[in-house]
Amino acid sequence: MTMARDITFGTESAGAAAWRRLRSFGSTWGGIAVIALIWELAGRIAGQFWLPPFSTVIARLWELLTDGSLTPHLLASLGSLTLGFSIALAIGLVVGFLMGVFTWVNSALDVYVNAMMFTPGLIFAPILFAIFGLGFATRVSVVVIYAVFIIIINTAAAVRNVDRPLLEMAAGYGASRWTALIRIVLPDAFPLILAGIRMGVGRAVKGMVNGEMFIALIGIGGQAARFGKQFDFTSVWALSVFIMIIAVAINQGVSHLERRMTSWVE
Amino acid sequence: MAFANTSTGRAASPRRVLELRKPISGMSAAISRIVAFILFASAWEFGARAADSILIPTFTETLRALYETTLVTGEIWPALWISNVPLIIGFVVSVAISVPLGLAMARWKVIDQMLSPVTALALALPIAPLIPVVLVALGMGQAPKVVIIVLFSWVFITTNVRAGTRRVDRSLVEMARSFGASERQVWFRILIPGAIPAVFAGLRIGLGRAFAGMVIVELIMLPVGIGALLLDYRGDFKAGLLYATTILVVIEAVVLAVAMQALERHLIRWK
Amino acid sequence: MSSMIEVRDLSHVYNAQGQGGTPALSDVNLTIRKNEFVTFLGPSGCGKTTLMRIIGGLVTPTSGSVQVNGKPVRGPNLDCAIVFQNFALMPWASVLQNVAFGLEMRGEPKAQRIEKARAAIDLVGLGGFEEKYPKQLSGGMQQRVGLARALVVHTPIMLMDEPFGALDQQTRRYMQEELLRIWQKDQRTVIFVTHDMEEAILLGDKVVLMSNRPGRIEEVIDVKFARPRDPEAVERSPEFAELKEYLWHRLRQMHEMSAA
Repeated sequence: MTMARDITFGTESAGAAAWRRLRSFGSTWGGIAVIALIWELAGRIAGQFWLPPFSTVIARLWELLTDGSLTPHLLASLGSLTLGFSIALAIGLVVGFLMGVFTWVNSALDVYVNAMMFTPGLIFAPILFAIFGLGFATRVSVVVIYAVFIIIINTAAAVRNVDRPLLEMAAGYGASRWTALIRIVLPDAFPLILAGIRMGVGRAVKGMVNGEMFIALIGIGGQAARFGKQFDFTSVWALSVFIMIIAVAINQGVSHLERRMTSWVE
Repeated sequence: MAFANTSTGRAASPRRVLELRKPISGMSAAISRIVAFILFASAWEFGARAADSILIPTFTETLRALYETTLVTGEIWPALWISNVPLIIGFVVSVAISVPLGLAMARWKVIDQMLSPVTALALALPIAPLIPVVLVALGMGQAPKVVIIVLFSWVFITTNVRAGTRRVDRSLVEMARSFGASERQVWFRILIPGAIPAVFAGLRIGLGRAFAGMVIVELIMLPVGIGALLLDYRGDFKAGLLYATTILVVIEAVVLAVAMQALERHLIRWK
Repeated sequence: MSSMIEVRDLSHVYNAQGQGGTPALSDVNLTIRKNEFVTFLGPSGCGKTTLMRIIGGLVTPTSGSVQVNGKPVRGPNLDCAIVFQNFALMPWASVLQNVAFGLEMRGEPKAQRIEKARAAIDLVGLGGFEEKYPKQLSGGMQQRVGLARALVVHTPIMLMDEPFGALDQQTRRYMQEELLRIWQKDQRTVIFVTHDMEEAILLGDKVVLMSNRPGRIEEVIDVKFARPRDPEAVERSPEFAELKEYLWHRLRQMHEMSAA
């Protein structure tokens, strides 16, 4: 889910920036309002039970959120997401760093890492299910498999692409290789590593939902699968919208952090 | 005067500059690959023996199952066929819709403004929970699977094609216009050739997404083809076959990706 | 004898492992005296940057020896400060932090290195920009930071790798004047790599003329304009035109030789 971001220049005046932000805000929400309207009309005209109007879906979402029936599932989802992503982050950074620094580690592992990048993570769900059963561990491992490889690949690429003249500069001014690793490689690789982490978060959310749907027992995805099997499509749509909102919110939050932490990037 | 540092060695690398892309010979790359594979295989083999579980096959059992399912019983082939037919149809339909859409978004601002909220939402909308909706709307047969695969992939193709085409150098369009090119000529001589790398990047990502759609729909909603095999093997505790089939799906994913890259390289030699 | 840099029988081959490496330098002998300003001039691919990098210890030569300040070169050493063609500034660090980097690596205490860095920043005319980041500066200002970073560590030798090559004509001219001014105040041995004939004559006490494939030294030309130099007066002088004419003639000869 990489999309080119607008490049903002430091020279832009505060007023112009505010206006630009307001305009892009307006067009985003305007577009969403139009889509919601079309959905509403289509739902009303079609009159099909698999396409309830937007207003009905939002009302159901409100109901689900306020009557408390979703809370345990939300907590379960959040738990597997947090743990799974943390594991993926730790493994991804360490393995990616080793692959970036040592060419032989890279050539030993790149085949597997790339293969896993191409493979939809859910294919491992039956195996994980066979090993771990219906529990927490299966859901966490699906999240890990979804998120870890993009972090590895971005981290390795970030480290390998560190500006070579900067490393020469460091050596020329007396930095040891270890110092260069800390003072040059880490900060120079940081923006690309963060981008990998952002994509990893997005994939972790997908892994969470898909894994839960596969097990169809608990979590938001599990609830969505249950509603689907009961032909309760208003609730299915409500949960889909909810998951979408969560995904967008997480992505926005991480992007915001990313921008703040890498303001020096040209 | 003594020039002590008369080095006649072959090494020509700086001593203290941190080398990150240090080239290693093909030989040592091959050795590290082989060693990694042996380590992986033996960890699996002995780990599985130690675990001694009916659900965890050893490496050799998996290899045997791989041999059986592909060459002895041939169980995998009809399943692969069943899974891949909707994948192929779905991908073709998705490309036919998404590439023109992406090109149009890149060329005309009106279309771009109309569609960008749709693509933005589609990028974030989870498709998996909506699979039952599509099934009920379209009934049985190939149609729902094809539609689901299109839903999984279209937005990634469209956004990649759009972004890549917008990167086509505007000054080339101006150059063509200054030589009197018509809109049609601008399209066929500048925009489309310039957009081809982006189109291929979009196709590669889109194919990956379509493949994921195929796997997900079979695993969570419509157990046919590969998905059915996997769920049956798990239910029947045929762990070797379960692992072997999973490996074959991974192999298919890699083959598809590598084939797309090869095609891409073949068609865009000027890059 | 006050020789600062001694290069003896130096040859270098890129990708020396296996057969068919690219010869970059062949049989180079060169002596550079203390506080001499030497420019390396030659067509692209003549190995002038490689020779500079070998002296700086960034590249280990295939054969031959280099002595700097009486000691053989074994990797990057603290006698040389390098100014890089593409500036090599850390984009995440402020001007002050970039300039102080070399001092920090040398283990200088914080208060002292900030003080020295500020002085160097003032010297190159960047006072007031201490807290800016590289992306907020123009190319010329960025290279001033690179220059300050090299000046502040007070090494006997400064190596400059086409430092003004990435700048536009006017900025390049200002920077040449600045460099002359600073060097006059604070003399040290300078090796300045360039492919610009006028720059080579204007700045150098010696022009080391190099030819390509494999790179070798064709001629070392003394440039006898008095110091401190007034760039405009130098450029108006008939000697300048004559020297430029001569260098142009030699470079054209080399070009025809390698094309034949």
